[in-house]
Amino acid sequence: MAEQKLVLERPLGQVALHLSVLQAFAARAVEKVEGVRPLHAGGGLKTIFASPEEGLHITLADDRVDVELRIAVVLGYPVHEVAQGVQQAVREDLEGLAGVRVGRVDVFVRQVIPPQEALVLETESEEGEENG
Amino acid sequence: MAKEEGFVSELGPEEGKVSISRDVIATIAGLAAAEVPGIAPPKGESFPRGEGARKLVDTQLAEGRVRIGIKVAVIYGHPVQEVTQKLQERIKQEIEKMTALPVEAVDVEVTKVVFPEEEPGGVG
Repeated sequence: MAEQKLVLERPLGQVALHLSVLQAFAARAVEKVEGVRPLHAGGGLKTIFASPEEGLHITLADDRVDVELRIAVVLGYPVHEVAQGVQQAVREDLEGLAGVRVGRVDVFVRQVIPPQEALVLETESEEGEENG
Repeated sequence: MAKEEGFVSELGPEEGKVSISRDVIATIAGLAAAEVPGIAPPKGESFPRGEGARKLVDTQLAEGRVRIGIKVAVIYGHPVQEVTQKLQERIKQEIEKMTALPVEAVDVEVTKVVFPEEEPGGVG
């Protein structure tokens, strides 16, 4: 399947954003929110978002994008606030940085993770970043 | 007119003509892109020159006007619409200045986001 693109008409010509570019912005926005963790052990957010169906799904409409996210929240963090924080961060970065109009941002909280497990995940992903 | 001949500008019946190859135009576009803050080549450390530039830069001529298509990466943190607009302006400006060919449009395709910590070379 050809790479999907969001095409915006500008005075000097088209500006097309690949779907993977929008996904990268959304994934990075989620990482900024405290209390959010990857859905499964052993992978960072990026790993999960590498396969769009799993954690992050962006649908391109004519002039805007709709976002669907599946996240896990660390126990102890207020789930609703974290989810709202994710919605806000994703919307802000896609609008402010990518410069696209954002329609819906749907967040599905699929799991809560005990803090000690989250800690393990965090160390693992930090090590992974240093090696990569 | 053979396509490989390049873009021709007629200076006048007695002065002859100037032909500029696609590679030259593609290279100019790549060099212009390299100077725009927030824009990076989608692969490698610099925009390719010469024949290699054709992979990233598509040049078309219609009714005496040039249409450019360029693939780029955007460095994370820079507002995409702002830097792509600067890129369009810069490429149009440079090509018109250096080749005297009018540029009709510069189509930009953002294929990648580069996160500063992943950027080859690091601090720049």
